[in-house]
Amino acid sequence: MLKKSSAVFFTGAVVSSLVLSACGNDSSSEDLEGESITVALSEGDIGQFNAWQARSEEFTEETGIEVEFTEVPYNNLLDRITTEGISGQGTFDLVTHLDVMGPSSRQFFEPLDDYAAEDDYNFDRFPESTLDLSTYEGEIYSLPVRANAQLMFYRKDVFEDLGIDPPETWEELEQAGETITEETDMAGIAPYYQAGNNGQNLYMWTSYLWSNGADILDDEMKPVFNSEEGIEATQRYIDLLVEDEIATAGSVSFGEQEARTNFKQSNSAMWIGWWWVYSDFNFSDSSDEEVLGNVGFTTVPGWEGKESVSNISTFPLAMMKDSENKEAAWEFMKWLSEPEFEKEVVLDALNGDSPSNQFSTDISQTANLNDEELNEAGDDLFTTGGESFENAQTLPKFENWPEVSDIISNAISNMATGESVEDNLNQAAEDVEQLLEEEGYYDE
Amino acid sequence: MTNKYFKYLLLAPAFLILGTITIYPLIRSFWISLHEWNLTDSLDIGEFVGIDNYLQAMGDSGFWNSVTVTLVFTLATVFITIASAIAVGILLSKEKPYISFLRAILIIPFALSPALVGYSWRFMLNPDYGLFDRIIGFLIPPLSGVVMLGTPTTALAALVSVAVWIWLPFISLMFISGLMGLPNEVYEAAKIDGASNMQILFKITLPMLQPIILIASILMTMFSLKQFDPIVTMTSGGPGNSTEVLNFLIYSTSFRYFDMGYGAALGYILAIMTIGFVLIYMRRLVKGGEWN
Amino acid sequence: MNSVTAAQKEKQAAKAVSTRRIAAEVVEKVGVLLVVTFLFLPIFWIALTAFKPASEVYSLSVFFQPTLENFSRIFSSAYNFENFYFNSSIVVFFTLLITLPVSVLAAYSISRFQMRGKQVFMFAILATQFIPLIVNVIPFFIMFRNWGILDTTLALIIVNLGHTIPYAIWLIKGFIDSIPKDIEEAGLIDGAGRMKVIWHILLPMARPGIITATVFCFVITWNEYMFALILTNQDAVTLPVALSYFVGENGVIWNEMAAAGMIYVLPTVVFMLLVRKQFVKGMSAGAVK
Repeated sequence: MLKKSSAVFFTGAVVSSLVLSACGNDSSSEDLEGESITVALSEGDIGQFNAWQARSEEFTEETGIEVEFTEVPYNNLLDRITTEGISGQGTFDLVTHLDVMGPSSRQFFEPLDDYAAEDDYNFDRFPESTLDLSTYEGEIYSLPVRANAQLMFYRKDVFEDLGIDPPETWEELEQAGETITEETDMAGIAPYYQAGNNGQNLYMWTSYLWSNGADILDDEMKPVFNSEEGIEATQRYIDLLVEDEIATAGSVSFGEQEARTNFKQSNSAMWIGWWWVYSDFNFSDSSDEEVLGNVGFTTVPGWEGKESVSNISTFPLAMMKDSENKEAAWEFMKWLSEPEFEKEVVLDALNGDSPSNQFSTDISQTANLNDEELNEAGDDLFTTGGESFENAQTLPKFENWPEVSDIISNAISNMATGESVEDNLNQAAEDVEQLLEEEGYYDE
Repeated sequence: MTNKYFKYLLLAPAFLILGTITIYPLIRSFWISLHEWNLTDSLDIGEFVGIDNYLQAMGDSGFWNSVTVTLVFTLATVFITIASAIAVGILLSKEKPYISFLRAILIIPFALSPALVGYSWRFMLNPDYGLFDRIIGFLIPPLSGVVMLGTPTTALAALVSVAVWIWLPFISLMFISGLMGLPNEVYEAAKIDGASNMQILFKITLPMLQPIILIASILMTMFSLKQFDPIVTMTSGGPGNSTEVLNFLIYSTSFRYFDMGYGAALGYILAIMTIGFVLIYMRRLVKGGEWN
Repeated sequence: MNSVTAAQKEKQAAKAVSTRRIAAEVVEKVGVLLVVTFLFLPIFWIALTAFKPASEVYSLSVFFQPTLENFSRIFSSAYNFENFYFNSSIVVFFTLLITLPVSVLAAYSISRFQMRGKQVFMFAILATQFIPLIVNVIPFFIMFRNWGILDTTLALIIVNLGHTIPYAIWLIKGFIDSIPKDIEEAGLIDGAGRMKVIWHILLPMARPGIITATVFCFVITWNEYMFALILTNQDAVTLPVALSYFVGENGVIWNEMAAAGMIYVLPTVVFMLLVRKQFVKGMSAGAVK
C-alpha cells in the first residue's frame, strides 16, 4: 500500500516538476536568471522550513534564481522585520511572520494582488479563513503557506483504559478530566495561562468565549468580552485550574510549549492547541514512550447546545516592500505555494522518504486538506483540520491589537493565580476601551 | 614635558571614541522622545509634541506598576548582592590552593549568556521536572505546592535570585581583589590590640573597601535597572504584569506596540531614575573624600 | 598547686583557642560549601543536561547513558557553531585590544591630575550608559546603514566599545586611586618619563584592577545580544544570537542549548584560569608597597 502510493506520488512529482519547469521557461523568469533572493525564516528547527531549504535547489535549477535563507530567532522576528522595514534596506526579500504581526508590519510588505493578476495566480487555493488573516483593506499581503487549526489532542490509551470517549463539549471535557485526575496520577488537561508570548493564553480562551456566543470586540470596536456569556466562558476556562483542579498545577506559569512538554511527558491526558504538534507528540524523541503513537485528536469541544468554534493562526510568507528582487521573489512564492509541492513535502515525511529534520504535516491548501492520499497517510488529520478551518473564527486584526491582546493576556494570567474573573475582565475591558478611545477608534 | 596638555592627551582617545559612537544615537533617541512617532502610522518621525510623551507616562498605570517593580527588584538585587559579595569576598580571599581554583571558576555564572540563564532557571523551577522546584519544596515545606513562577511574590523573588546569581561572582571578584590588596599589617596590629573579628570587619575591612563598594553599587544599580534578558526569558513579565520591569515595558512599547516616541520617552525616564541613584552614590563618594 | 593550675589554665586557654580556630574553620568550610552550591548547582545541572539524550531531558535522574550527540550536532552543518564562535572571538579580541589601553590612559589621567570639570566628565562617561539599549537600537541601525557596515564584525566592535570603555574607565580608575602616589613620584624624580612610569610602575601594580576590568568587558562583549541581533544577518552573527536558535516554535531544545551553553562559557573560564597566577601576583605586588 505504502509502496503503491509513493509510486503514484512519484509520477505525480515528476509530472508536476515538468509542468513547473515548462512554466518557468516561458515568461518573465528567463531574465531573472542569476538573481538571488533572501528569505528570512523563523529559527527553531521547523520541519516545514527545513524542507523548503532542502528543496529550494530544485527551484534554483528550474529558474536560475538563487535562494538564500536567513534564520531569525523566533522571539525576535518582529524586531528584525521592523528594523529592516524602517531602514528601507532590501536585505530580506521574503519574510515569514506570525499573523498577529501582520497589522503593524504590513506597511513594510508588498501587496500581492497585482502579481497574482499578472500570472493568473489563484488565491482561492487557501481556505477563506486563513487567507482572511493575510488580507488588509481588501488587499492580500502574504501567502498563508503555514496555517494552524486548533484541535484537541488526547491520550487514546488512557481514554480507552478508563472507558471514556473523547469529549465533544466542555462539560464532557470536565468530566473526563475529573475521571483522569481521580483514576490516574496524571492531570486531566494541560492549559497554558502564562501572559505574553504574543498572547498565547488567548487561544484556548477564545474557544470557550466564542463557543458560548460571546466575542472580544463588537462591530464598533467596543470590548464585549466581559458580557454575561463572556464572564461565564472565562470562568469556566479558568476553573479548569482554580476550581475543578483538573488542570496541571504548573499551568498557571506555563507557556504553550511547556504545556506541551507536560503532555509529552505523560503528566496530563488532554491538550488543546495547534494541529502541527500532532507530529511532535507522536513521533518526536522528546515524547515519553507511553505517549508516542498514542495521541489522538478531535475538534475542539463546544458549549453544550451551542457550536464548537476553534481558533486558527497562520505563519504567512510576505514580500518586503524594499526588496530589490520582487519578480524573483514572487516566482519563489508561486513555486512554494504549488499544491503539489506542499503535498510532496508532507507525503514524503509521512512515508518516511525524507530526512527526519524535514518532518512536517503542515498542509495549508484546500485541495490538499481533502486529499485522499494524504489523509490516508496521516490518519485523517487533514480532514479534521480542514473542518476546523471552516468552523474557525480568528482574532481581530488591527494595528493596536498587540496592546489589546497584552491587556487581556495579563488579565487571564492574573485570574489563573486565583484573582476574581469578573473584576479582572471588567478592568481589562475598561483599559481596552480607554486605549482604543485614545487611539481614536471611536471618533466620527 | 608639556605636562599641562599631557593629561588631556591621555583622555583624548577615550573622549573621541565615546563621542563618535554614543553622541549621535543619544541625541537622536532624545529627539524621538519629543515626537509623536507611531510606526504603524508612518515610517517617518511624526510631529513635535514637546514633553507630551513624558506627561503621558505620568498618567499611565502600567508605567507606575513597572516603576514599582523595577525599584523593588533593583533595591533587593543590589542590596543582597553587595552584602553577599562582601561575605564571599572575605571567604575566598584566603590563600589556599582550592580557594584559588574556586576564584578562577567563580566567574562562570556571570559569563553565561543572561538569556540562557533565564531559560535555565525557568527550566529548573518547572513544577513537573524542575530541580530547584524539588529542592525548594524539600527545604521549605510550605512552598512545596507553590508554582514558583505562578504567584507574583515568588516570581519576583525568583527574578531577584537569578540577578543575584548572575552578579554575585563578578562583584565578589571585585571585593576579592580589593581585600587582597589591603595591607596585612593593619590586621595584625588590630589583632594584637585584641580586636574581635566583628570589630575588624566593621572598623577596618568595610571602611577600607568603601570605594569598591560604591563602584560596585553603581555598576550593579545601573545593570539592575536595565536588566532585561533573564526577565524576558524567565517570566516574560508575568504572572499578570507583576514582574514587568520598566525596560521590558520600553521594549513592548517600542517593538510590539510600535510607539517609538513614547518608548524613547520611557527610556529617558529610566535614565533619569538612574541619574538619581548615581547622584546619591557619587555624593557619598565625594563625602568619603575619594573623589579627588 | 599554683603551677598546676597555671599549667591547666594555659592548657584550657590553648584548648579554647583551638576550639575557636576549629569553629572558624568549620564556619569557613560551610560558607564555602554554601556558596559553591548556590553558584554551581545550576551550572552542574546545565552541564549534565548537555550530555543527556533528548529522551532523558525531562527526568530528574542523574543516571543516564551520556552522549556527545548534542555537541556534535551544534557543530554540524545545521548550526555551524564554529562560525559564530569565530565572529564572537574577533569582536571580543578587538574590542578589548582598543578598550584597555584607551581606558587605562584615561583612568590614569583622571585619577592623577587635577582638572576642571572632572566630576562632570566622569558623570558624562557613565551617563552614556543610562539609556536602555533598546531605545538606541534604531538610531544605531540607521547610523551603521549610512556608514555601510551592517552585518560586519566592525559594527559590533564599534557598538561594544561604546559600552566597554566607560565601565573600564570607572573600574580601573577605582583601582588606580588606591595605589599610593609616592611610588610614581619617586620614579619621576629619578627622571623617568610619565609614560615610562605608567608602563613600568603603575601597570604592574594596577594589574588586578585591569584584569577585573578586562573580565568585565570580556563578559559584557561576549554576552551582547540586542545589537548583534539587529545589526547582523549572516556573516557577522555572534554566539548569543546563535544560542537563541535553540528556541523555536517547538520550545527550547534543552539538551542542545545546554551543550551550546557549555561551549559558550568555555573561553571565559580558560581566560580566568590563565590569568589566575597573574591575578594573585598583581595583587601581592600592590600590597607590598
